[in-house]
Amino acid sequence: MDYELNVVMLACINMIAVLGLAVFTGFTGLFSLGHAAFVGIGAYTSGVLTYHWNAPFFFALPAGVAAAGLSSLVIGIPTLRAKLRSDYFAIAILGFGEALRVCLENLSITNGARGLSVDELSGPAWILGTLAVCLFATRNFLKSRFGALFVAIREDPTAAEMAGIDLFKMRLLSLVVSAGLCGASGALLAHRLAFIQPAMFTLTQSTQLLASVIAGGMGSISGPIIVSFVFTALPEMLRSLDMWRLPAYGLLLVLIMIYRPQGLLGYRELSGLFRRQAR
Amino acid sequence: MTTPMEPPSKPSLPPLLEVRGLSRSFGGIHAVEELSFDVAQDGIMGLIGPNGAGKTTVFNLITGAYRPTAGTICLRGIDLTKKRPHEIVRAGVSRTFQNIRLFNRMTCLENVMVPLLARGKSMLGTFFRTPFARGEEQRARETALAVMKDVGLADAAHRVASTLPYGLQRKLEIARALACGFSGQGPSVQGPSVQRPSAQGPRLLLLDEPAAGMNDAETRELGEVILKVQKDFGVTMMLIEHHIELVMDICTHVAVMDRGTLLAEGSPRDVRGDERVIAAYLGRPRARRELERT
Repeated sequence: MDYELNVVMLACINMIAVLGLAVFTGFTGLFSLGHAAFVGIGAYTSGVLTYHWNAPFFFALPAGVAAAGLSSLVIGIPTLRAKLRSDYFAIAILGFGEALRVCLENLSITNGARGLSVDELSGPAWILGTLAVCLFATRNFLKSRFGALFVAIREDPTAAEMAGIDLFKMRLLSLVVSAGLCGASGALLAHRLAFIQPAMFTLTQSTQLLASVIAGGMGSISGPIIVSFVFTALPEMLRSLDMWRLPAYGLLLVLIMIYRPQGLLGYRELSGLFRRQAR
Repeated sequence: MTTPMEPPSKPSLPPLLEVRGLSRSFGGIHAVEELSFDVAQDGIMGLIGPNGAGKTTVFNLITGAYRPTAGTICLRGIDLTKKRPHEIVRAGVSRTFQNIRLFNRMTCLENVMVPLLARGKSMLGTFFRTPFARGEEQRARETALAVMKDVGLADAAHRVASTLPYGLQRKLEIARALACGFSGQGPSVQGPSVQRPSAQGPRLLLLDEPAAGMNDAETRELGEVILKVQKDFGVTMMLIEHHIELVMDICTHVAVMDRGTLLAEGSPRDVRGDERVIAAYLGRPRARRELERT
């Protein structure tokens, strides 16, 4: 029972990060190969706070969110101001992620590559509560004027700019919100596993986040959420397959892309399946 | 309000847009060179010329998509050349595109709401759907619907933009460009159509080949829509167009460009008679025949 609970909790933590990337990639249309860095910043900021200063978790969690959001400005301001096209942006943020990993490995405050053993502070209540708040706020945010502006930018950046949208500001806002959600996910992860090390926040993790968003469907919240749950739970369920579980995961991705290139719920929501088609 | 084919009723009115010495080169190519012209308030100015004359470049310079190499563009005395594109939109200039650019997966209503929402003020409230944020969206929706009604798109409001037939997509683009001029902050719109206070609505609407790909009947209908929009919204227009008949019918003033420079300008009647224009642009036998017919 403990084991199943743990898997579900990890899936819920992962969902928050995927939710964050869905805002940026699925709705705003910019690809990122570096969002694991924001998860890492959230994890390490909160972890360092609780480890070195015994900060309470209700303080460390928002601090992780804020740190991730602020650090996204560092990469977001120069790249988004230069209006890098989507693929170039993905590469730039990939560099950011790798640079961060190297920093984490060499700083003494993070205990370097050996990792940081923090206390296990985020129980199911924290995780489920944070997930609920994030889902609620993100859904509202995307239903608001910002959601519409993000989608307009995704659909046609030139037309969006000529409709009076400040491309730089809106893309940056999308990045900050998205990084903040990843930061929340990181803070929860650190205090769930009670151990973090730089190798947990690499390109592999960024790719998995992106895979969940693409396979779940662009412009959808529920699609990526469902897929991220499956992607976290499936490898655990397939443990009996031993070494074949990673190819099985890869095969699933390939099959989704062949038979549903728009993703599980591309440009739709789960609730919309029973009502009219959303965007 | 002026009717087409007449000079503006108040000739003393300062021009809405003043372009002076405008140049833009790409590498060694001078796309636009030392271009100067005025756009009179409340008129429809036609911008014609052979392909590659630099007409669309002029639009891109006015809207801030390109920075000019030299020269100034002033809207009511405010220099636009230092402003970023969205600031130029807020100053009152909006445009349509030669190859239609809609937000394809959004509904028509959402397309028209985007420029209004772009001017919204709600920030943190959007996370909690506060009454202020919702009220703002509601006002944007009402204004957008009113604009769509005026353009004749009310029935298509909830259709996805990409499913519209070509002609309606053109209209939708015009509706979206018109919505750029409304702040979305004012009191909600009452009655059947937008009652335009003087400070609202775009001041200058740039239409880039709105009749491209249309047959004669569709072009005529588009001409009527343009005239109606001009009248209802009191908006000044610039029109790039290759359908000469449309230009001659609705424009109050015509400028002819060739190889980045201004070849001639004046009333449609004057331009039609200009020898250089005929040589450079209307010299082809078919165009000349069309002219003789009109």
